Amino acid sequence: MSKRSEIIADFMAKLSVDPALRRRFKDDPSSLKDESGLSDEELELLAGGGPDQVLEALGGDATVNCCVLFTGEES
Amino acid sequence: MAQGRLTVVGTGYNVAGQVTPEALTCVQRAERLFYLVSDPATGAWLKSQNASAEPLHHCYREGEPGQAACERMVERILAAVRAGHEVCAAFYGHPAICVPPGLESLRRARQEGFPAQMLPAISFEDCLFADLGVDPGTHGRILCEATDFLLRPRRFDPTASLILLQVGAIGLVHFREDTTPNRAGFRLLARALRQQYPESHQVALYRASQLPILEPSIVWIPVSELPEAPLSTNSTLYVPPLPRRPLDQEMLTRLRQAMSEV
Amino acid sequence: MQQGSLVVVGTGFLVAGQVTPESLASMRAADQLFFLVAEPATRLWLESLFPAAESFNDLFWDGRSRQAAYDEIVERLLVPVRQGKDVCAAFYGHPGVFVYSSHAAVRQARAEGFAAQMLPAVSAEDCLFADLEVDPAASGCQSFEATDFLVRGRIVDPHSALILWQIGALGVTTYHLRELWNAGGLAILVEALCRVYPPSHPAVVYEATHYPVCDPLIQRTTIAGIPDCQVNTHSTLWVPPIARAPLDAEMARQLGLSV
Repeated sequence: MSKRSEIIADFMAKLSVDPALRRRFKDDPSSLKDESGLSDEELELLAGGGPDQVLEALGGDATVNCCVLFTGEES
Repeated sequence: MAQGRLTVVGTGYNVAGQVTPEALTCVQRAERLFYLVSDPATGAWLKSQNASAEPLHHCYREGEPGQAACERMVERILAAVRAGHEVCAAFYGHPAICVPPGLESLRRARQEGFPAQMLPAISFEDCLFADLGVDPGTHGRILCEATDFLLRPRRFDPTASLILLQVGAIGLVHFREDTTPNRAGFRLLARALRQQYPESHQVALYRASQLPILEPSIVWIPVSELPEAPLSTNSTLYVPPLPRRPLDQEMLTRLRQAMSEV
Repeated sequence: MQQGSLVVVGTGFLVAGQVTPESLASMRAADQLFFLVAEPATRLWLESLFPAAESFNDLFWDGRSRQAAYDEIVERLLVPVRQGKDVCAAFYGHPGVFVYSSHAAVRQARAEGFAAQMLPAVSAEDCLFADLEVDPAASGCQSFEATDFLVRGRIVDPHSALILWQIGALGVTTYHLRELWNAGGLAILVEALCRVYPPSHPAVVYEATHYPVCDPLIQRTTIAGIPDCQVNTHSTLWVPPIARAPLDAEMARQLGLSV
């Protein structure tokens, strides 16, 4: 995992506990430059992209849907 | 003037223990905090987090329909939003589930042009699934408020889990300080269930623990003994599923063929 | 009671934002922590707090039977419990909702004489109710896994709301890395739903967000329009009721309610 993706993940955790900070980010991503430790480009990418872009910035390792239940077995 | 905003959050069922971090931030930072919770410990804790905290339960009046109290609560919340404040409204459990002022204050705020959002929270069902060891994904789950279940009968799948909310308060549409459950209404429910399930089918009367020192209340009894079972106004009834129907192999094959055709 | 215990907790859906204090406390108190999360930010956050934590993500690979993965999770959890350790397992969302291994592990631990508990967490439904702003208790709510709905002849009443999970994974039992696992199956799903609802009846294809910088994906369509939506393995279908069911006047009378 690269240092950049660790910093991005850290920023995600910070935003995840603070809805007001999320709104500040949405209104003006670059205003969180100091709080995030990220560049203007990285902040713009996170603000403008969808979940796929965020996932890619985080290193792309997503084992999603691991817990889909239907197993096709009689039980 | 600053623009008002509303965030509606839930506190779950364990004082501070089930409040999500994002909800806690809203609770602490709000300029005006309103709350409706079901135990005094949670109320005291909310006051400790935000000195502006105002209880909403005073909006209830003895003998009045619940709808009137809801209207009163929504109006108090909206007045603060209109005054330009950052407002947080905190409700027990999950604020969308069976808590009319939760969704109503959200809708009204937005209707009046204010930004408003609801954050997810731990519901009574989340507690039930954890305490009873039930996965609603395995057999499916039907959730219904008990009075609604009786007043507006519908077909339902008895091979799915059935969860009935507020079984101790059937037909009680007016607020009362008295917390005696409605035994007569509950007997009608028991009779309705005996038409769908065998007499020996084990069901659970459940109440989530609301304090860290208490265990949840779980009483398993057969359907036949339901009418006189111990009951509280905040009891939930869990009815496990009947054995499910056999797998429709033809449908499964069709689905798999559709997959490979793409 | 023997030494060794198991606590199963959930991390919700928003990195750190929905991890409750009681869950975090259980993670901190454990001798050994395992986790299964759906995306890397949550994993990194967990690993920063708990460097010795072990991930279960490596148990899933393209083409592996999910049942085999689930059984392996149970066994991996029980081994340290039997060694007398206090073990904690963290799953994304609610650990007991659409997660086979968690309840099985708690039951197995208790059967072997160990203390075991599950703590509640924010579930996918909790996010759906908040994001779509709907009350499941208003008209009742029926909730099924989409394949199960089709292959078990599920009875559905259109006077209550309906939730179908995993509409993008119809008929699939193995794990895949692709985004949408059965696009063709959606037509079959629509056919089944049209036996209950008019094709023009509203429906919502919903996907919760895992990231605080993204909004949930909410596509408002009709029953007939489902296959034209962006559907993937995270997609959930919400169908509002067509109307309230008719009142049973006799029951109202017996309950002492005026009609």
